[in-house]
Amino acid sequence: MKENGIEVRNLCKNYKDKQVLKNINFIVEKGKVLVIIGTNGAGKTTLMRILDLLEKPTSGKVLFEGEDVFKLPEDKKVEIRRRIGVVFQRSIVFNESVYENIAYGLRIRGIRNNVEEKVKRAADLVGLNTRDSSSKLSGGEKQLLAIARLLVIEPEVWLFDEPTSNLDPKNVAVFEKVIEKIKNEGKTVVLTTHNMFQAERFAEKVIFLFDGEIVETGNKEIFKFPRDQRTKAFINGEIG
Amino acid sequence: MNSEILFITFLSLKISLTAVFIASIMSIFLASIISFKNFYGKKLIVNLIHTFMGLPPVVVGLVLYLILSRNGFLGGLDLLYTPTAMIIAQVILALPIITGISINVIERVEKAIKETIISLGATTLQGYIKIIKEARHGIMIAIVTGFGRTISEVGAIIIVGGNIKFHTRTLTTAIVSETSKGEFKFALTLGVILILISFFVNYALTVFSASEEK
Repeated sequence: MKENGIEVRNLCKNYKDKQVLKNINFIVEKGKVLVIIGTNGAGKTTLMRILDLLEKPTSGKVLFEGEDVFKLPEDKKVEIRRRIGVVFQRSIVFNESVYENIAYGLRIRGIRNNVEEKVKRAADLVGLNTRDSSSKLSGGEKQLLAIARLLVIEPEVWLFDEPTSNLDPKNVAVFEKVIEKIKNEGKTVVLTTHNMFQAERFAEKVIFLFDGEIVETGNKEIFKFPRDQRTKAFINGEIG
Repeated sequence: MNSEILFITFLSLKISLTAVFIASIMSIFLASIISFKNFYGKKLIVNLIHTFMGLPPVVVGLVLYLILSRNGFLGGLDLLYTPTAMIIAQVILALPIITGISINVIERVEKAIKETIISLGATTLQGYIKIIKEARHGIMIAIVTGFGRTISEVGAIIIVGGNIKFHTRTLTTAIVSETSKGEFKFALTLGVILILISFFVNYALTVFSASEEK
């Protein structure tokens, strides 16, 4: 039996009267790549924020290796957050050097050995200079810095929320190379994207989210043979 | 004359820098607690701090004088007319300024930055430290503003210090006494020194900010 990395059970999220996630259920096995596709406003970012423990669900559970994460005390939540890395559409970097940004994750984990070497290696992977100030970086480079900040701490679970939607083709290529590397290392990945080629390239499991609901789940075949009319319309670019 | 100017200048710097140093440590601690914690009466405390940012120095001087005078609550400490009393007065004046501005800048650190810190796996304490670090430019401005208040202040320190030559006479208290004696040249010299000190402190802040941007 495959080990479950993340399991979401009957998850709902309301903002005041509006229900943005409705009875979401899925499992991501350890080492697998789940791609979540869906229209704008379907609830993808909210779902990712919940998986990163930044928001609580209104009801339902998120199980991380079988443990209900929202029932854990704060120190246990910190432990779980340290095993999860997230890159959002607009990454926030700290107002200091590239080096300090990347080293931060190591510092808070109390890692003191080979920090310089590890930081340099992560920066090199995404083509950044550790001596640069983060304030001088472009939006795309800030996304790359966000990924380098995670590469150095090697999370077991990676969450990508439309990470390449604001990037130029060169930076998209760097990003995809990193995702490929993470995938090959056997990390668990959850990726939301509007880029169907990217989705098809990385997906081992696919979920189509529409108006806060999962309307279709499957594997890569979903892109060629969608069963639900809404999935088909989305893949064909008729709804977005 | 020269040795007196030197003494006055160094004493002014010593009193103001010591007061700002003490007030800064206390303020950052207070501002952090107020910014990071939610508690009953928080709004009232923040309003009081904002009100105290405009504390009249002569009132602070008067109250402190009554506390430190022989019959006062802390009269036994024998602090009246000493540099220590002047430092205490300046700490009281700088504290609400540095705390008030620091609360504002700490609370203005973007929610997204706070979430990034949490997301990277920081503990609560590590998160607080990082947020303060992110707010450091604003906190530096708060400290410099506090220094500006203390170095230029006269009302409180003249009451509790007594403007005693070679003991508690500072740039501002000397300017007051020299002007009243008609010694305008000496008073103006001290005024120029005071302005130069303010200039260099602000210049140091600009250099610090620029070096951080590189």
